[in-house]
Amino acid sequence: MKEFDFIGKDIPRVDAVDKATGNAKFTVDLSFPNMLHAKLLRSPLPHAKILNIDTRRAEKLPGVKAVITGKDTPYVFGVSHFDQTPLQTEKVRHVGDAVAAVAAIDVDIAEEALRLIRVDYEPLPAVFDAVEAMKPGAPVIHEGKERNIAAYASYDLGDVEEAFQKSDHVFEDHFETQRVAHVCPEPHNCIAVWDSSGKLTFYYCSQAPDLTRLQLAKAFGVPESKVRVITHNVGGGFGSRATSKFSMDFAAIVLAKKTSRPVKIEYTRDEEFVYATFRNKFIMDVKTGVTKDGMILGRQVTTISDTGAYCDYGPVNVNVGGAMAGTLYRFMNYKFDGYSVYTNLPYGGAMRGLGNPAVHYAMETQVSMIADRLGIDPLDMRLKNAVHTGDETVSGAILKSCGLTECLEAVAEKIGWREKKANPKPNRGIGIACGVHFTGVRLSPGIDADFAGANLIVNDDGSVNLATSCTEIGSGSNTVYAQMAAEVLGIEPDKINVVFGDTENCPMGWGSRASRNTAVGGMAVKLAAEDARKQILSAAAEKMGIPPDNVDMELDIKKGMVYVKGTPSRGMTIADVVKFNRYRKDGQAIMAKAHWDAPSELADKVTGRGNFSSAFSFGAKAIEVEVDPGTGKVNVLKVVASQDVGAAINPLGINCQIEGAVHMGLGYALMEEIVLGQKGEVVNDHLIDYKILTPLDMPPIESIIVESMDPIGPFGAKGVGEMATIGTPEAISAAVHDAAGVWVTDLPLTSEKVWMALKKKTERR
Amino acid sequence: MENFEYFEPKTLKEAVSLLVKYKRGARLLAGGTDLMIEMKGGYVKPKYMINLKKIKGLDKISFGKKEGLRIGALVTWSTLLSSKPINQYYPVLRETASLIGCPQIRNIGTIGGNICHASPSADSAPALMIYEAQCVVAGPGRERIIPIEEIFAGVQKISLKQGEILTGFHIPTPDTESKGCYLKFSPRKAMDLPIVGVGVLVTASNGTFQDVKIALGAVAPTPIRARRAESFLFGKPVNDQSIRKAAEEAMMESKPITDMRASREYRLGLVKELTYRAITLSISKNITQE
Amino acid sequence: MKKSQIKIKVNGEWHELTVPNKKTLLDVIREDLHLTGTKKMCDTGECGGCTVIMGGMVVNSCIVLAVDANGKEITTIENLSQIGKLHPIQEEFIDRGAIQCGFCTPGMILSAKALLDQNPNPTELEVKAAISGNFCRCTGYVRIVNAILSAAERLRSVNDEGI
Repeated sequence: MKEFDFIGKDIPRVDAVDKATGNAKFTVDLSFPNMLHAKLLRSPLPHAKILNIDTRRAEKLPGVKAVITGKDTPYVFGVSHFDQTPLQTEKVRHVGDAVAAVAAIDVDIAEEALRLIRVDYEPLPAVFDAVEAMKPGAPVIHEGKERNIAAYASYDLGDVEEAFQKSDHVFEDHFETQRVAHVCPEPHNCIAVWDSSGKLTFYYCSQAPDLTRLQLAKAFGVPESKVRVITHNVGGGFGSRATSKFSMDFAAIVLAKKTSRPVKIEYTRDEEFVYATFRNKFIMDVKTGVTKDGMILGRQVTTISDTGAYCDYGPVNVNVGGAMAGTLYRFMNYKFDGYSVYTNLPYGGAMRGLGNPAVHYAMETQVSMIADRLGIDPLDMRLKNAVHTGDETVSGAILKSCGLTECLEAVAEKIGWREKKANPKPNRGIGIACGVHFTGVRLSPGIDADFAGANLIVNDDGSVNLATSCTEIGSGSNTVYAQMAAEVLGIEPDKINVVFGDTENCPMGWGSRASRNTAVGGMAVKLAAEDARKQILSAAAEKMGIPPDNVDMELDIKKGMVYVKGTPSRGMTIADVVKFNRYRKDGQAIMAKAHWDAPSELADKVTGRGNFSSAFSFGAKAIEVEVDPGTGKVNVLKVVASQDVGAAINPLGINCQIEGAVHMGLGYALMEEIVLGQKGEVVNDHLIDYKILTPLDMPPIESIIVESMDPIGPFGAKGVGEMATIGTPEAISAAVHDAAGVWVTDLPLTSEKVWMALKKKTERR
Repeated sequence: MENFEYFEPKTLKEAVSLLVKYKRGARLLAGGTDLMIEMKGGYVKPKYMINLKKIKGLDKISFGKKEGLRIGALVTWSTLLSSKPINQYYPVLRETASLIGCPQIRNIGTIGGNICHASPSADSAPALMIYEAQCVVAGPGRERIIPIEEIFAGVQKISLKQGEILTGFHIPTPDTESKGCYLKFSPRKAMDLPIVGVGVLVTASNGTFQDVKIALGAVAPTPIRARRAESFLFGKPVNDQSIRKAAEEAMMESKPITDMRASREYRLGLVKELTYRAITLSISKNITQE
Repeated sequence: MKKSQIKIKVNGEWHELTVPNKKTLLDVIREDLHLTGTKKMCDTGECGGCTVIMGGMVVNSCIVLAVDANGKEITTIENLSQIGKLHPIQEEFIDRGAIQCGFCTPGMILSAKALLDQNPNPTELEVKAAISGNFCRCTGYVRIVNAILSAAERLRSVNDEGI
């Protein structure tokens, strides 16, 4: 990369001081005068008709200010499928489906009031398994959805049957992944405030305040100019807060209107486990045809994903999985059938990577299995099939930059792949896996947009206010924007105040999701900064008597000074330029705006192919494990993770993201799982039995940044956060096989599963 | 959480009379690490909360070679970890303490609280059982001494009568030749409950097992001693074969269930494997000492 | 009587309060004293988000009854930076990328402080054990451990009276 002042530097997070001192405010920290607290009444049954709801006793309880039911919340919402209402009127579809809400002067009274609401249910048969739900005769969860199929996505590209005919071997394998929770540190919460002019201010820990705003304006029939969504610091998002999509959001708003008081709803941790959505469970069958030397000729994937009682992001997850399964290797014959199926379970949603981590787990574990069966090195097989810069994949993705090969080679070298493969140690093994994810995406049918905005104002003293449409959810986007704007404007990053999270003061955009912050949000920032720079130079040229045509040739900006190239002493400060420009007859401000729509396309309606993202990030993971054969415990000795980020705007930030994603990946691989009871209720809705890794459980992690210099992204950058989540479980599966000779193909790889697999293997001998 | 009346008795007598007065409506507060969770979850709704921590003497540790160890019920895990006599004479208890929870939990969680919660997987139970602790119980009547195994009446059930309070433990000084360990098998290295816990104390001489104590956690409604395995080893040669057979015996004495944490079959396998390892590990400590 | 009068010393200042008996120290800190730096992350003592230093030791304030904290000295995150000057632990957290969303940060920093107050020269394992009850979902703990080790080194090499 060329030498920059701020790009490529490990600049500490701009918001870190506030967070280190406890000053940083999160939505949950907010409180307003006269505020009420609300709780939701939830169904104890997984599937039942609602015969009657009697709220009279609750309404009379002292301290209760309002009680609402479904008739008060006649709104329909969803993500791609609008199948949800905030409070149910006809029937409930999962344990915990909301039927009423109470606002009271404190949480205790609200909870007591819930106990006074009487609901008469008529239980209906329920189904808790997606495969069972698809069978004829299964209970129908949503009218009109035959076999409970919420959505179906398919790709049929090239000719897989012919490819299988031509293959030397065709392998079919089955994989399953589990439901996992986001475990956002800040539980979901919101505060709704109406003013007397009919304007709604909604405080919400949102990843995408504008999407929240649009949804609420539409639902409540309020002009968009009268809905303001405010997001402060967000205590983790990971996809669970990508839109406004919870009963509690609507309930708070309706209760606030009814009482004319601010209403706050906060999830407790156990509610957060159940009602903040989770990563869907995926059942996958992968059929791959290969030549005897490991070239993949064709692949067929069938997946059944359990979306729970409502769709939320379920169908999108399946669609993404389907698209990405055709984007990693060079085969051109691909068939995908993906079913998103309703069950009577708390519903899943978007979680870091959407459906991609699950589908990658299946595909990449199978690649390792195939390599093993063919007697080929799994690294070599991947290198042989890997996509390269310039490829157009079977899914239609055009790879303008691709560092896949470099990523594979980097992790192999760091872990000592060849040497360890040549000198295996007892009970030890290594595994390798790679992956691809998008940078921003156009996968919602009919929505031909993927944009971000930035507004930039240069102040009289040369400092900058930069408003972005993206939200700082902890991934470091604000810092990256300060670096980008600083680089373009020639000022220090600490002179840039990044403003986010207030729809009234920030431009519109899709927020922080789909790994788009750096590249899509960043491009808007870069464009706005470039516009402002032009204005500064033009005004300076005017003041300094330089002809307009010579501006770029003669002037530059560094450290807040506009100076003549070659004569650094001849110049003026940005502050002086701004003041000169503003304080005169017909003066102007130095301010700029940008709206950037990432250059991607919607998928073709017939084939499903399309270049659905402006850039694709690649990565690889090599992991060494030791398996304890007596207990089945998998001890991860080392994780090496590489990622092609296009260009590293803030290497420290990228390494941080990779490490955090590896932590999530290790949990997905080894111990995280939502466990359900007989009624489809979550039984491990607490942090002792829903296990995320503690510091003592973490192996050493080495992260390697690969830069393929994307031609589209700002300074060459691509997305980071989700790609980093991919690869860990499949690399561990392969490593476990390398160490212990067993394949465990359903996650998580608990010590019990490994022990059982080893026991079966011994018994077979 | 429901509200309650709150008391801070200054003496044991006062605490006992409060318990007698308020009966089942009262709960005793030690560290609160289990009680607070139960209360917040609505499983327990005391009307009267009796905080034991203002009563002098319940958090003391004293040791004499002849008398043995006395640990007050309110001794926290952190205090236990910094105790010299426990480190020297009851290393398995110390090892247990280091495996519990995390610093925040160890700073307020108490050994008495852990036992009175009576979880089948109570971490402190195996160590107390292999050291053959006696529980000291105060109440409206005379002070009672209950052997540790008998204090457990069932899953989360303690065999204390109405008005009784566990005040501490009396643990005899172990044989100087004995060596032991506590193996806690859990998915995580902190903040976790054992899927299976095995505590072992072994004395061997002249290549023969003289005395073996094996205690198992999380494999029955209460923590148990594997007495058949223990008897089996008495007089047997210290070799792999004996240890494996003993581990097999211990497995057969255990009665684990299948729950969300593990299956019965896996737990049985773990009992066998961990008992074998615990004895082998302890014996190797023994040999190095000689 | 289901309320009690308590006196607690928080960040060097005594507060006299009347609290419902069931109210936790965490809720008193956040609601009565309006110190929102200490976070309610799970409210059941299972995550360390509400960590405060009480009587010199880290505790989960969500499972400590306020009445049980009567007479005790408590330090919250707000007290760590003094007269606008950041504590070295805070500086290292900032400089070494140990902070992402920031929600676990206050509890994490206090656990680090309690460790270094007791053990100025911890090993990496001791650092991990000291924060083993502080859950983080963003960082994977890598930079947090590095930051604490660097802070330990800095504190050892500087003779700081006031910190």
